[in-house]
Amino acid sequence: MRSGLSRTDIQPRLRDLVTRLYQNIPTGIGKGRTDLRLNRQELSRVLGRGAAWAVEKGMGVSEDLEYLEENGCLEGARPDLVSDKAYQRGRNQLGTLGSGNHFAEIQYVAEIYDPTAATALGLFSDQVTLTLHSGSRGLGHQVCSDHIRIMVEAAARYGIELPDRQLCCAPIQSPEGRDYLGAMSAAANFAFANRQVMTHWARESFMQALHLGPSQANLEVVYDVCHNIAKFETFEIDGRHRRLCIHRKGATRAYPPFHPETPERYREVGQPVLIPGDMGRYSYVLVGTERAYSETFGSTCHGAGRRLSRKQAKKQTRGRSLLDELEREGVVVMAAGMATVAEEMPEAYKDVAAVVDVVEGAGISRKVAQLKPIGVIKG
Amino acid sequence: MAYRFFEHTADIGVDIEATSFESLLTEGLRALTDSLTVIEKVELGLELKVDLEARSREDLLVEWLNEIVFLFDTRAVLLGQADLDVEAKSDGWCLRGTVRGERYDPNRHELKTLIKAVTYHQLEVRSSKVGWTARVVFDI
Repeated sequence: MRSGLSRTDIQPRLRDLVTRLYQNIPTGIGKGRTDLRLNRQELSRVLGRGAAWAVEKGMGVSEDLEYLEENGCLEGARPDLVSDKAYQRGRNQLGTLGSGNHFAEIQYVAEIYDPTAATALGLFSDQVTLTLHSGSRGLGHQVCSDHIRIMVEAAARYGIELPDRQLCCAPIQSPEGRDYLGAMSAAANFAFANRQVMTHWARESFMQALHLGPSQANLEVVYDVCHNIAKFETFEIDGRHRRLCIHRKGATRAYPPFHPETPERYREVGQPVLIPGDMGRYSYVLVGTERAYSETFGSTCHGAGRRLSRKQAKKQTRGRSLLDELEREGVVVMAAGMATVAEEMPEAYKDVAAVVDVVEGAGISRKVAQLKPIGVIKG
Repeated sequence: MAYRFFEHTADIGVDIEATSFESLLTEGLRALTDSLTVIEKVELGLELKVDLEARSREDLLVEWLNEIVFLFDTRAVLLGQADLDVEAKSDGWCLRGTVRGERYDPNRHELKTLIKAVTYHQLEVRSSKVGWTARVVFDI
């Protein structure tokens, strides 16, 4: 999200802002806010409608939906194919960040590489931005676990040899394949709604901490991209338009300028691509390209990637005060668990600058801006 | 009986060894709880019944550990001990028993890592000279 604020506008109240975010957006263990408890019927609507459900409940504005991949709702979602266990896990987890590498981060625009694209994306130097990284939470994991059980058996039935059982699969048009896509799309819709709810609470946090009205904080969605998903998209193959199932696991969609699904506002520069780095250094905003469309099914990278295992990271942080270290670098961090901070420390990740240089060098996305973190909440 | 975590870049890998298959499952539970929190601080006052079925021993290990993840996610229960009985059926295996632990209390239980799911990645269950060994990876 971009704001109408500069770094100097929030710096005096940065700690209050991080605290508000931490209070308003539940992190860590599953439980969500008591003012957002869903019965099964309501959760089923979330799974069918995605982010639009949250907007209809007053959490966000309809304009937000224009800037979400697939407008925040996958067609073909089958809430009826989501198991009772998944419903139980999802019931109290809407509007929760989670743990691990999930985060909400306040940043500022540190560098602009492409002024034309930055202007189209509404970005300017020193501007305050906010990035949310979260997904379908326990509900999505349960959908995955439920279907892995089915797919392991299905793979054997379809004569598919598996190098590792976690890679179990079935033909897309088989009953098992269709059922999984329906359930997975429902889980994706939960993720869209989850981020939309947190977007709303992030806006409230800015207003509360900085004593601003909605138009003064002016937090607008730049874009919302997925990076663990399979869905149907249209590509030109051998001169023919074909509907393909595109699976992006650890990859982000990067549609080019003038693609019909690139929002009008960004039509001339391409779809925004958000590449988080780590909580000490920087993240990047990129845009998609024609080359990505023709060579990688409109896809690019999705993040820095780990350099150290979690165990190695924890070992390297023994005896160090990571929160103090980050604060000295100008980053205020609040986290539910210190173990997560240790596992997620900056040195645990590759330098994302090198990663984005590779994808830019390959021509599958273009750098627009670099964002530096100043406030982070984690699970 | 023992478990040992092994290096895995993004997830948590664990090797388990036990004298019986039931003990192997209990050690798996302890490894999972040890990943979530400081296991020594988990008291055992709360009892829950479990009843699961699976096609193979490997599937049963994954089903069982995913049940523990489910109980933590939905009921905030941390589990430290189990009394289990595993029986062969005509089409697989059946697990029945009691698990013991307590409700998660943020003031007493330090949260280490939330586990999303127990996976089939690199999954192995074997009988050995000692009894049983297993390798399993937790997705975090």
